[in-house]
Amino acid sequence: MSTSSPTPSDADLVALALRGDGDAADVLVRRYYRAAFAVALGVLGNRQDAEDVCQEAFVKALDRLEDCRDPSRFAPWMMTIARNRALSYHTYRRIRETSELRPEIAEAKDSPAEDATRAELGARLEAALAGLTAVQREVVLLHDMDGWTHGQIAEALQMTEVRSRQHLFVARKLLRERLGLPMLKEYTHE
Amino acid sequence: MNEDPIDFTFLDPTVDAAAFERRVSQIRFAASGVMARRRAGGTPFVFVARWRAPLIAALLLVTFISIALLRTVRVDAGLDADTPSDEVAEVLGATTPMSELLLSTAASPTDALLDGGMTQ
Repeated sequence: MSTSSPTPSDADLVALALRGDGDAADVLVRRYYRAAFAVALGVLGNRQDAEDVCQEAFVKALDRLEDCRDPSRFAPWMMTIARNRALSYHTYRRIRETSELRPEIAEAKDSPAEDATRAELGARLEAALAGLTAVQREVVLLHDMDGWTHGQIAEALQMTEVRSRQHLFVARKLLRERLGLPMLKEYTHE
Repeated sequence: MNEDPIDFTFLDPTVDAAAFERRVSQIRFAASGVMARRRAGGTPFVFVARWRAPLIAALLLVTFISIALLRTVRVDAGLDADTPSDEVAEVLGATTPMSELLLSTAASPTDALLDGGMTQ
């Protein structure tokens, strides 16, 4: 990758990736992985599935990069792919779950106590998120996990900024109610 | 209190750096084929192949413009299907079969050449 700017724009990175620059594609993946994950998790409500879908979405996006007509709007385009992949997976999962028994945790690994605690807290967060609507999950995850502004969220999720603020307000309120005060203390930033 | 963000660190897929790097590597590996194809896209052949659709469109456009232009020129010269080929021959200084060939496709190029050779 050869750009003069220290933080290349999405449009620059897309242009480079279209010429086969793997490093530029790498930067795009790192830049938007968390956001795509947030969108996928918003739809699916399951961390592992969201990661798998997120990975698939990036592979598909890089494969069809020529379809991104406005490279400066790579983020909304990428989020649309992530959401569509997640929705397809969601439908597939529902069909699968009705036709066969879902196996228990497939890859149960021995993990240290810290990992177990992390996993438990993650599971509690997932459970709390499950009580929200998909769009509330997407908004709160994009905003609080990846630091997106309401303007960016509104553009990516095709809603108004006011609507985004409303979703965030309700989502946070519901999450706090479900997680409870002890959990909130654990989450407090140092 | 509701203004404070929720801490989603425990769900953040990038916190486990090793796992995240594995994911990125897997994506990069899966996309390596298309990236290689794009890098190879710099050769003249692929360049032409990529532009085949606009090239064909441009060629068609040129063809239509040429046909329209030729028709206009023929009309300006007072040449149309009803013009006797003798008159055309006289104007052009060519043989009658040659003028017939210019006005229609009835006479073949061979006829025109053979007749031209005989008259001259």
